[in-house]
Amino acid sequence: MRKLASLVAVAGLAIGLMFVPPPGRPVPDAPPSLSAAPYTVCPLVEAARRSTTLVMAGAPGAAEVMVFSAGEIVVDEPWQNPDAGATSLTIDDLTGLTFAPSLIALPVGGAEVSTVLVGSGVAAVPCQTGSSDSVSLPGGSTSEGETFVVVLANPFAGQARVTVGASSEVGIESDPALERIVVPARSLVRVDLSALLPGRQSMAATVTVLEGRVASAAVQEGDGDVAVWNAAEAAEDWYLPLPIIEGADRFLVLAAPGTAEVAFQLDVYGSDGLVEAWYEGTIPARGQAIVPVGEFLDGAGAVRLVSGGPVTAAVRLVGDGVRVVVPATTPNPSWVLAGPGLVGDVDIHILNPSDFEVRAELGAFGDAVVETVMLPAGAMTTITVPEGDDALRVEGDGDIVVTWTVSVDSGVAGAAGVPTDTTFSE
Amino acid sequence: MAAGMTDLPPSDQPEIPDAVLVTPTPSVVVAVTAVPGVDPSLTLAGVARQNLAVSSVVLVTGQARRAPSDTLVTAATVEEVVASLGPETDYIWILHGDAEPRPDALAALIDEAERHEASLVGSKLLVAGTRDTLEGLGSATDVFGEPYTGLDEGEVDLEQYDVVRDVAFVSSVSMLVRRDLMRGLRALDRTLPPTAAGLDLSQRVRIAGGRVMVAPSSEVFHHRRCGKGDGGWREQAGRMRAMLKAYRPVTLVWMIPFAAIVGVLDSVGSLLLGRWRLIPRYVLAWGWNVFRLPSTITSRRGLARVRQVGDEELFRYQVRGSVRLRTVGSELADRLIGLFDEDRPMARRATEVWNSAGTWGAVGALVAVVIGVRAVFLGSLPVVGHSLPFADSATTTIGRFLGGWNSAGLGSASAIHPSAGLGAFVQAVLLDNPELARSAVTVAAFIAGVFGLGRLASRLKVGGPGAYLGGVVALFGPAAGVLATGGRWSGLIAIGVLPWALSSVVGSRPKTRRSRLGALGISFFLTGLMAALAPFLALAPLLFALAVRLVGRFPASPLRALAATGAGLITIPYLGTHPSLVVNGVPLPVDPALVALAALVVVSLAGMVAGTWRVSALAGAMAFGGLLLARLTGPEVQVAALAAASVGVGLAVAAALRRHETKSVVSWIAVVGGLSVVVLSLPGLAGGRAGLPPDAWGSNLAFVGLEPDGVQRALLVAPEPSRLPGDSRPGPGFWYRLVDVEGPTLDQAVLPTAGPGDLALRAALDRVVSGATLEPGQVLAEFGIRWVVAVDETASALRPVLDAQVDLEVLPVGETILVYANSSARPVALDDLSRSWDRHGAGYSGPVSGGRVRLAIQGNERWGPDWQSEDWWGTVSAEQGVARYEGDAGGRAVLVPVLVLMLVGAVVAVWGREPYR
Repeated sequence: MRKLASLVAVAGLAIGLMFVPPPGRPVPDAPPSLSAAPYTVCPLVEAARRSTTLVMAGAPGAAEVMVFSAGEIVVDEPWQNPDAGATSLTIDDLTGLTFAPSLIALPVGGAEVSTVLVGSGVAAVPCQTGSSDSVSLPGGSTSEGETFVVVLANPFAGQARVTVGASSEVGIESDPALERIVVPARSLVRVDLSALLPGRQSMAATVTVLEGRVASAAVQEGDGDVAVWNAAEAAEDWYLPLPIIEGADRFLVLAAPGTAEVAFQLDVYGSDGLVEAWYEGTIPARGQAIVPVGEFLDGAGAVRLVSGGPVTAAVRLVGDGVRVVVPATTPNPSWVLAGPGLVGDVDIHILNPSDFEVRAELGAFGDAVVETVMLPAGAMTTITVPEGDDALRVEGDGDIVVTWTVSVDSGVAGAAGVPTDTTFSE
Repeated sequence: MAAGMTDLPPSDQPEIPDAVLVTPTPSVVVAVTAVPGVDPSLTLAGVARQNLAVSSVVLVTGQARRAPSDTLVTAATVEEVVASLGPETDYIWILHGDAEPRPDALAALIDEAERHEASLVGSKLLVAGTRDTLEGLGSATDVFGEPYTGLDEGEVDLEQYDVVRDVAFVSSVSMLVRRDLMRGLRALDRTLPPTAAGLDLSQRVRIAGGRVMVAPSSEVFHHRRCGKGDGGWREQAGRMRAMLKAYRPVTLVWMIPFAAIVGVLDSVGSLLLGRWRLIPRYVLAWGWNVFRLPSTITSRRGLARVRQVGDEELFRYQVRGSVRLRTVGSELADRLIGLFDEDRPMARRATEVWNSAGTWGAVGALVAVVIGVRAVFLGSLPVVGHSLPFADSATTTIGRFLGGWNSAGLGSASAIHPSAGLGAFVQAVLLDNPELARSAVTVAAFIAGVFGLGRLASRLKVGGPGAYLGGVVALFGPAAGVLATGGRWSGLIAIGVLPWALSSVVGSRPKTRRSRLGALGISFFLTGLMAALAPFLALAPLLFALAVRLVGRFPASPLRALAATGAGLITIPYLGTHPSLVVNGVPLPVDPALVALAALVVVSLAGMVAGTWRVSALAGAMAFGGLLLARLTGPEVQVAALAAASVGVGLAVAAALRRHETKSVVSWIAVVGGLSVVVLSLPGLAGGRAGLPPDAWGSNLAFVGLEPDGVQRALLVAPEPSRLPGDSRPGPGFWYRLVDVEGPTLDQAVLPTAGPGDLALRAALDRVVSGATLEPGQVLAEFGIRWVVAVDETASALRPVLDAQVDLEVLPVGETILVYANSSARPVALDDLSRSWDRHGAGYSGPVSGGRVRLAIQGNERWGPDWQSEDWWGTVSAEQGVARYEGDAGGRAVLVPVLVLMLVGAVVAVWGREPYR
């Protein structure tokens, strides 16, 4: 009897073992959502050949400017954003370095910072957080008299490695000097494509980050003016306001950084309203496509680029003493325009890409609204704001796209506004 | 006849055949040496029956004794007999009064003496009362005079030694010696007991140029009333005197010191065997010889006059080395093996040992264990999971164990795991060598595990070669594999101890009170040892004893087991401060291979049906019950349950592979199932790391000890807790833990319950991982973190976040490991002049000042001097230059008595062992 009972007991335990599942695989807690970056990188700061002003707009509070060079933080200065929400700082007062890339520790609550370059042309560009992925810089040229430099800034503690790719009307370019470029910690590397690959009318560069994090930007110089713009990650839907600059030709530059060709279409916002699929084409793999704006638009307007794969795009404005590249952007209700008011009278180009009318308000930081405009569906308007304010803000009651240009004697500057989550009326 | 001798009356004379008396050549006088309390009539009758005539028979009674009969010719000493003989006597036959010679014994002696011109011839001695049991056939000695017969106890005479040959000495029980030589050598030394006297005479005969031989054809039965065994201290002293007399000075110069050394070693070895009497015997023997030194010197002078040969002639008939040391060494080995295997297969003669299946099973299992832990010999054990090195200082760890500061994580007053304390005690014994201690404990436990299972199986009547293979399965099988994969080193060691602890509470009741105390002592000691390794195993002996009682047949002692459970108090400080590990904590993945489980089911059930249902039921309940329990509980219970399951699996295999009395299909199924489980366990041997995973942190953290600047910490981050050394805490998307710059050590394996510092660290990690700070190093510096080490997927996940910061420098360490050095780091102990303090035992020390020292630990008021809490950390005064922690007296009050009792238990266990036979 005991034998039978034992047999049953052991069998029962064995069966029980089969049916009781093993302990679950332990899982850690969910990671917190990523915070807004507490910093921004301004890779294009110069302090010798040009005068650079950094403009901060956003939450008031204590910030910190760290100029880095050759592995060191050579300048570490506090920078207070006043209650008005915008301020500027001339880097020339802090350092005499020719190239003085800066890392800005932002005040709590966040802010936008832009770099304004004056001297041998004018230019302005928002600072950025950098990227660990592949980014593109369409809109360059290495034709005679042109200088096209890709700037790679690594303000962080770890080394970075990147590979720079280039495509032009020749096709995909290659050069061993562009492979696996090491960007040491707290250092800046400038890759002069006009020296490596001269004579290209149009060139798009791609920066593939292999290790670390790098802030990539481009500098185009020619005919007495300079254009600067940030690299952008590729996407399938872009908006490009197309302002008129006197004496300048306008080109749409489209680049496909991927390894497959990409079909695209252009929807045009012109005086007749939206014309969908006005133009259809294909961008070769790791190549670029150039579309002269004059072929489909005489006056001011805008274009929506819809593609079958990730692409980047920019509007390139070229003329006598004019070098401007404005990267494509995406709609957002609130925008910050830091710095253009320091250069001259600012033309702010506002596109309403939606199917309904949008009310947009424009003002300076710390001041009341200076202008309100009603934008019909698919319409673009340009508002000129006089020189003086450190930073401007535009806020719509629907999605809008905002870019700006400034024309002064020494050149033309232009850039896209910086979309922000902040609602200024709050 | 000389004066003092008396004639036997004719009527009482033994009958001697007339024919023999007619031819009395050569002339022999028989000297029968009386043995106290023994009637010599049998001997005398034996002499009378000789088929060779003797001239006369003299009974040597000894000085203090009277003749047993007025009619017998008697003499006080052999010397007196020799002195009384004239030249007409050729030989003297010395015969003990408890000997019975065969009728042809004397004739054979004379025949061989004449044929080989030998001066001294001895007989073959057979044990009286048997027909053919050998007692002696002449002997060799070692250089110290210790006899060596080469015979086994009870060896039967098959005439296998019947060769006439020269020997070192012959026994004085029956020896024929030439009268003239005997006279010249002054007969036997009266101060010596029989064997020593024979040795002494033999050596003197040889030195005088005579041959000493044994005549196997001369057979004498010996009643052994004159003494047996080694004859006590007098024989020992006599042998020493014989050698002192015989050797030349040049030999004595080295022989005497060596003899002293051998005496010491023999005494120590015998003490281990429980024979304390050898020490006073040696003392007495040496003392006696010192006392007799003048007469020894006189004898040496007498011998010098007749010396014909050197000591080399003596050496020819001696064995090499020391017979005593060889014997005691053999007995010690036998005893050791007997500890492991009650069948003592190796205690038998060599030929039998190697014919024993048990021996081959044991050897095979040993080979398997050596293969399975070869990493210990080739390098070191892996540092992975809870398999961690011992800390550098044993005394510091013992201090931590006895209520000191627990430095795991951010520090805590909670107790460290008792296995760290146990390891520290071993380390202290092994000259504070942590790696040697860890290796020694591991190897010893694995070997003990194999033989322990053999012992347990023997007590449950399923011993044999299969039991040793069962031991291998217990250590490397499916259940042990779960422990090994989880890096639970202490659990693996516990498997080695558990069978011993279980077998200490089963088996027949010890016969004497002393041995019962010994049994309790060993149970208490083993239970405490086991509880230190896996706290909940403290209950295992009691549960096992109850289960054995339940199934019946085998004797068990639940009461002894209950008393031994008291040793489990050693775990109270630990379990009391880590209650969450009972049911919570990160569990081990208990998921053994399905095929192994299926084979185990077959083994258990077939074993039960095939005839050993009790053992198989116990084994099956342990195996499946242990695995089942391990799936339902927290890590500490899991370790105990899996260790019990491992032993259960091993026992099931032992039962299945035992020698089945009746062969049946089911028994064959059991055997095949058992072999299958053995085969399925073999992969556990592959890595040679005791089944543990490959090293994860042994070499990867070598850098943390570099650039030491006070005590600093490393934050280790991994996607799974099993990838980190010891315990870990769930973090934001990963698991993490802190280790200090010594690297992960066993005393830091278990993390204490999370305190305010741990919560602060967690919040800091959330902040870092969210990317909300550009200076994560600054955030982590508050916790004394100098290094951030991330592995594999975690490295990939953290990299984007930690790529965008300015004070954690990336170090190029390895492909699958990401290491950041914190350029903002601050040491754990830092004074207000930013001077770091170093580790000082379990505390810190640094420059004396009037300021304060910040300690980044979750301290309390026991820290001093003048502890002041600041948030989760605190400060102490720097006035003494030392920061100390006053240990928990409550913990010590529990642990010290238990440890003392364990030690006492071990001593009592040795003292109370059943006498060794």
